[in-house]
Amino acid sequence: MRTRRGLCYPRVVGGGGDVCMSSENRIVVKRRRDSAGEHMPCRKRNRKSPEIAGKCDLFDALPDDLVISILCKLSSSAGCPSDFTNVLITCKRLNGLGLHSLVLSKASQRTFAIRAKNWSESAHRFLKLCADAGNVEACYTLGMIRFYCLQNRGSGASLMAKAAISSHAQALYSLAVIQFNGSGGSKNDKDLRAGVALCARAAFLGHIDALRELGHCLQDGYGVRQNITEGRRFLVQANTRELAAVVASAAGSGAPTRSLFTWNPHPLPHPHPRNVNCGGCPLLSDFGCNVPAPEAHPASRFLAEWFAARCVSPGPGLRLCSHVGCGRPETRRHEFRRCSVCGTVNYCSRACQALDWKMRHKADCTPTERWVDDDGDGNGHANGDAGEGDGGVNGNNDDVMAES
Amino acid sequence: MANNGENPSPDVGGKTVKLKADDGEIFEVEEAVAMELQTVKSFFDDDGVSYDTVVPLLNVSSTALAKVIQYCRRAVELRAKSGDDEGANEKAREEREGLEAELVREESDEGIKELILAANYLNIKDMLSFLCRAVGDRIKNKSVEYVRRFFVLENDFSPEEEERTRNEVAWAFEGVDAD
Repeated sequence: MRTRRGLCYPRVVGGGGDVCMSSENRIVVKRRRDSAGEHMPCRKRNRKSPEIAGKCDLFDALPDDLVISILCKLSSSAGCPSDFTNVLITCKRLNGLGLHSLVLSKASQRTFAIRAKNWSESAHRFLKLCADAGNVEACYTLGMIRFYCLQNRGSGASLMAKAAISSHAQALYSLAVIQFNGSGGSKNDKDLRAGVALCARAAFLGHIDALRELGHCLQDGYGVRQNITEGRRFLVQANTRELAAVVASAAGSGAPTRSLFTWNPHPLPHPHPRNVNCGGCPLLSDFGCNVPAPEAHPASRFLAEWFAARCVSPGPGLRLCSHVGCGRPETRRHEFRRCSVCGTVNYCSRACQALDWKMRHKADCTPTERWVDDDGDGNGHANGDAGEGDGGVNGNNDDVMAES
Repeated sequence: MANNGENPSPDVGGKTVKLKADDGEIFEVEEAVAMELQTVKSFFDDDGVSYDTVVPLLNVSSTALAKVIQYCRRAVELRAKSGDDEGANEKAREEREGLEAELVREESDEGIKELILAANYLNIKDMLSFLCRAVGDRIKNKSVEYVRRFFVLENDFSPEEEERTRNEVAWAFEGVDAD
């Protein structure tokens, strides 16, 4: 159910049937208690329930810590920003309690799913409040927005670092991508070993893209000593995790998993390139299974919208990562690497390349006549074979991919 | 499902405790169940009173108390069933969640608020937790007016403050076509 920006009319208290608990005024004494295992600042309100035309104001009888508890649960289960921000417009007390740091710190990831076209100073302020309250998702989201959209590299990076310190896998991976590409700086600012270290931490937290990236780095000896078997192991693990996530989410949503896994020995021709939501799982799509793509993080969606819908160009001659779910822009010319075969698409990382290859690009990629001769055999060897299904082979074109 | 002052006598041989609601109605519950209510527990812990004393719970209505007792009974049973077995644990947890969902589903808004106040006064952590979650779900993504009605709030913003506040959160709303 969607909210509406309704008009507000002055409220008269006591509209619905209130239950009168007890007719006397009484002092409600609240004891200090733990809520969900935490100690809350117990602002005890010893209040008399006001008599209003013989009815009791139950909301007044609710002490602050209970209201905060309710709001915490609300914020942590919010599915979109308005679920939560609605509460802030109702009255002063809810406004004040809703902005309490405990409530903000528990806000879910989807609370920050701001649409790029709605971006404003107040949205910025809200995110900042949540980040200050210690909300890791807010730190990460605001960090990404500041770094890429608002071009504030230092602040953005430090916010992401704050999230990364709290073991936020996505933040760790984003920082790794920044290190690999030397984003926000020059080509010499690339720090491959730092990138690998960050990727490793994210991978050990189970982040699928980081696992893939790490696998490729190990296979190629990129930023780390080459270890092909270990690299392959990580790639396989990435696929396994992806598969497990798909199965779990399908089981959770009650969708008939059977339909996902019908064996089709002849892989389906990839769907129309514009329809990027099919075949999000590189492994399974090789076997013609139609699994939905994993939902992008709100920050990624914001970035993609920002540069697309708002028609804000990342800068003169700067491109976006061609993987639609990523949304990252270049921060200097030729920062990203492009497909060596056709040269029309470019990616911020190997993980994006692998995913986009399976989802979309494999169908579109055609060798073009290129007068820049870096490789004469830019036809097929770099592009993964259907049977493997691990996307790992794509990484082998690292040395082949021209970074002109 | 208010009891008539007499609960069906528990078949476990054990102490029972008497609880008195605000209207004077007496509930007799098994000790294990009564100890779920931390308030009651500390009543006996602290003062060393005998178990025959009737515990006055003047802030809790009898309807609320009845429901609380009903929930706590089931919770104690389920906890006894779970034990160490992983599978049984899982099953018990699901049953408890089903029980909680059932309890909140049939409640009116006022009923839930009453229950929250009762659970808070009686200091029952689990019950309070799921009740708060239920309230959160009920007001989630409803209009501002609905939330005001739910909590019976007066809009104490002045028009300028109202405008300012709405602008502060305007970014969260998905345009004007909603509901």
